[in-house]
Amino acid sequence: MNTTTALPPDQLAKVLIVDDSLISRKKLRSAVKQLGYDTDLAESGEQGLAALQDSEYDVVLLDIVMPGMDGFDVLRAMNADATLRDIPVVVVSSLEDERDSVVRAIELGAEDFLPKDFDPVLLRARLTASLTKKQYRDQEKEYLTRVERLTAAAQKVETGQFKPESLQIDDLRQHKDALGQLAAVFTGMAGEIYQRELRLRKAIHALQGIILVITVGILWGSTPAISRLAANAGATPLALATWVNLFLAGSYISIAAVRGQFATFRLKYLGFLLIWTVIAAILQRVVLLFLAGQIEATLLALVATFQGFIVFIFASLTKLEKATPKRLIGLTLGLVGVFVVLFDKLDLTSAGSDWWWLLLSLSLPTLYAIEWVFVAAKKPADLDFLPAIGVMMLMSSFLLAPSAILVEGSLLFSDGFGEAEVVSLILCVVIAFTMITSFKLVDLAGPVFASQSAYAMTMAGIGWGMLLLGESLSSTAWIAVAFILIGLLLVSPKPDNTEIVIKRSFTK
Amino acid sequence: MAIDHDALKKLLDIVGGDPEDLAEFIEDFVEIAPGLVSDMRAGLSADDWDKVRIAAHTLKSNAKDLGAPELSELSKTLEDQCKSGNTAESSALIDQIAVQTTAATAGLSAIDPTTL
Repeated sequence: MNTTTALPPDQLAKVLIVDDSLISRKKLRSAVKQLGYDTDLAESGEQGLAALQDSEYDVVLLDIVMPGMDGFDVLRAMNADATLRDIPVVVVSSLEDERDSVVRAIELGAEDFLPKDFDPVLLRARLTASLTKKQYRDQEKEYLTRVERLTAAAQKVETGQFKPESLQIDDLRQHKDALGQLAAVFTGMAGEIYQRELRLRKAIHALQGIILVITVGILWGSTPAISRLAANAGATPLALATWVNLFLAGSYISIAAVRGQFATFRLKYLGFLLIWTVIAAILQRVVLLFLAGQIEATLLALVATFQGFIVFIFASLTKLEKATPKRLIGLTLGLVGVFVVLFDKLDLTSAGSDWWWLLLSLSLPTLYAIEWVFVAAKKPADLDFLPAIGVMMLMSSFLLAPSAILVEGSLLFSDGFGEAEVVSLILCVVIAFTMITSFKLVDLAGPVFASQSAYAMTMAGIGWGMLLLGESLSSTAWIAVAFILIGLLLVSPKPDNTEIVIKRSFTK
Repeated sequence: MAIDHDALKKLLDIVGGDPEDLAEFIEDFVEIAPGLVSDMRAGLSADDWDKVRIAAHTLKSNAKDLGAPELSELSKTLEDQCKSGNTAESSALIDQIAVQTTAATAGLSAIDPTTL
C-alpha cells in the first residue's frame, strides 16, 4: 500500500530513475518499488529528459556522473523548461568524494541528495519530503490559476459583462475553500445584478412597445375617418393617393438629406424599394381610398385588426418570430372579434354586394401584413427608413399620377383650395407621422407585436368614426372590441436575446 | 578474494529480500565488470581519460554494492587520478583492477545467495 505519499490513495507517485549503471538503476528501482511507488528507468541524461517531456513524473532520482549528458546538464535543461522546472529532483551521489558535485547540483535546482549506498529509511524520507513539497507546489499553482481566473472574471464585470455564463468561473464555486466561497459569492452577486438589470430592461422594452403601439394605433386609426371625410368632400382616390405619396416623398427626402442619411444609400437598394412601393404605396393606398368612399370608417378600422393574424402567420412561416401558444390564442381572440363585428355590420345573409366589400376590406390588412413582414425580413441593415420611404414614395407618385389622370380625368379635385384640399393635406401630415412611428415600432418590438397596433387602431378608428362622422356601434360590436383588446394583452413583444452590458465601473 | 557478505546482505535488504533478485545482481556484475575494465583499457590507449573516469566511477559503486571493497577502493583511486590528471601510474592501476575484478567475479560466482 502506498502510505508514503501525500497523493490520493488510488494514484501511485511516479518516480523517474536516471542512471547509466545497470546495477545502480536496478537497485534504485527495487528499493523505490519496495516503498510502493511506480518507476520508469532511463539509461542516460538524454533518455531521461525525453521521458520527462513525454510523461508526467512526481520526482526524479538523478545520477550525476554519466557519459554524454550528465546530471548537471539534465538539471540545466529542466530549469530552462517551465513545465519541468517544478518537478523535484533528488541527485544520487557518493557523498564522501563528491561533496562539491552535490553542492553544485543543489545550486542548479536539485531538491535533495541521496548517497549511493543509501538505506531504505533514508530513501523513503527523501522521496516523501520531495513529494510533499511537490504537492504543495501543485496546490499553490492550482490556487494561483484560480485566483487568475477570478481576477479575469472581475475584469469582465468591470467592462460590464455580468452574465454568469460569460464569467466562466462556474467550476470555481465547487471548491470548498475560501476562494471557492469568494467565487460563489461573486458569481451570485453578478447574477443577481444581471437578473435585475434584465427585468428592468424587459419592463422598459415592453413599455416602449406598448406606448408606440398605442401611438401608432391612434394615428393610423384616424386615417380611415379622414380618408372618408376627404372622399365625402370630393377627393378622387387615385389623385389623392398620388398627392399623399408626393407629400411624403417631399418631406422624408428633405429631412433625410438634412440629416445626411443618404450617405449609405446605394443604387442596388432600388429593387427592394420598388417591391415595397408596389405593396405599400400603390396597392394599400388605392385600396384604402377606394374603401373609404364605400364603407363606414369604424368598420374599416375594425377590419384592419385582421392584420395581426396575417402578420403572425407570415412571421411564423418565415421563422422570423416564434409562434407561441399564448400569442396564437391572443391573435385568435382578436380575429374572432373582427368577424363578430363584420357579421354585425354587413348584410351577409342575402346575395348582396356586401360580400365583395368584405373581401376587399380583408385585402387591406393583408397588404399591411405583407409589407411589415417584408420590411422586417428584407430591409438592408444600412438603409435608413427616412431616405428609403422618401424614395419609395417618389417612385409611387410617378407610377400613380398617369393612372389618376387616365381614370379620374385630372389630378386636381377642384379649381381652388377648398375642403377636399384641406382634408387631404391633413391626411398627408397624419400619414407622414404614422409611418415613421410604425417603422420605429417594428424595429423595436418585431412585426408580430407591432401588428398589435391594429387593435389600438381599431379602438381609435371607432372613436374617430364616432367623433368625425357620427357613426355608431351595436352592443355586440362592443363585446367584440373587448375580445380584440384581450388578444392584444396576450401577445408580448419579441424577446431581446442579446447579452446586456451594464456600463458602470467599480474601480474608478 | 574475500567477498564482504554484510554488503551483500545490505543489498538483499534494500531490494526486498528475495535471493533470486540478488542472484540476478551477481550475474549482472559478472557480466558487466570485465566490460568496464575493457573500457578503462580502451580509454587509456586512446588517451580518453573521461572514458576511463566514468568506467572507474561505475565500477567503484558496483563493486561496493556487490561486496568487493578493495576493488571499489582501487576504482576510486583511478577515478581520482583521472579527475586530477595524475595519470602516470594509471596503467599499472588498471592492471591491478583487472586482477581484482577477476577475483571478485570468481568469488561472487561461488556464492549461493540463499545461504546468506
